[in-house]
Amino acid sequence: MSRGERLSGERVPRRRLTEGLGEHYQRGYVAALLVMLAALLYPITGWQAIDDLATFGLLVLIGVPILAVCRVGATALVCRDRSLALIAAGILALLALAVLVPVLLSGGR
Amino acid sequence: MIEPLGLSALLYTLTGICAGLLGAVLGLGGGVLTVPVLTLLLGVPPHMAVAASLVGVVATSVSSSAGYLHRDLPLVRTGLILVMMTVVGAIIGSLVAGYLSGEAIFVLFSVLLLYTAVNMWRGRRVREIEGDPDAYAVTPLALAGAGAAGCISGSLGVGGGVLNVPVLNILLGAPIHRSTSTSTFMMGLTAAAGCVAYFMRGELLISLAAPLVAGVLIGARLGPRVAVAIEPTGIRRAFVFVLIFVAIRMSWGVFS
Repeated sequence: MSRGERLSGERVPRRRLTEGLGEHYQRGYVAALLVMLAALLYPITGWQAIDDLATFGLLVLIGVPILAVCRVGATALVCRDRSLALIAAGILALLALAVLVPVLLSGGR
Repeated sequence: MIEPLGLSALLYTLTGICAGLLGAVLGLGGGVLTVPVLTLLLGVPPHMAVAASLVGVVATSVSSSAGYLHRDLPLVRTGLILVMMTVVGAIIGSLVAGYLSGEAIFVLFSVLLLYTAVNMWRGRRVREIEGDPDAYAVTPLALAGAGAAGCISGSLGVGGGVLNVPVLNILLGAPIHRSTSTSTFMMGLTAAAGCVAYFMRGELLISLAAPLVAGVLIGARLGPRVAVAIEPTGIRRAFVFVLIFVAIRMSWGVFS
């Protein structure tokens, strides 16, 4: 099967997209809330591990919408939705650029 | 590092809860409240307030999108096309913000607050006609509007809904409930892109962002329950005067 046949331009059903993303966002919300609430204990306990947990929690939170795009891209590939797969790939490339541009502007530091 | 001083963490958490609640009641991202409270009342430097506010916007988006997606409201495909432009705008906005002085951020934020206040006072000119949710054609003007929304989000730490909702509703013709939910879905990705630049410059303080985000996550979940129990029109009108007052207060400090 050629690449063109694998990505033949079908469209992912909208309901399938929103249901999958809804579950993803709900799990992300619960995970981020639990970690952030645990991080609030730091001012009381002063434990360094909880401070690190707060950093991890923020990364989890920022990762939720980014992983949602990965999920959309994977669903699009499974359903052979070429246009949606390209859109997801484009967004991920731009997000990679968001990381790289500040590094390049600061001279690689 | 989070400072082991409970009071400021508690104040940041309360700010987050208020931003989450007000965002849900008034349909805002919360950034228009977070940045002025952090800078004017709690004395946080503008760049750090903007960075923390952006993480708060991600939290609002994640919390609200979970509910919206279960109700099948956001136009995911259309939203993702527009997100490509908002992310580009957010990258440019967050980089430009690095070269702006605190005073310039205050002045630009004041202009944004006045624009939001005028929009809230007049009420939105909305379309309510439900079309085929898969058939909204994205126009070049809509892409430009999304890019501008991303730039505002990245530079001023707001969600960008003040531009994204009119783009979806007026330019593309999506009904208002779909426009609002799609804008909320989009702002998470836009703000996440903006957060990266601030994180790389060391302006994203965990000690500030963590309690703020915890508050926003709680407030955004409580918001819809509060919203059905109160009359939003009076609060909306009162909030317009608060926005105008804050805009004048922010500019006053710069020009006086």
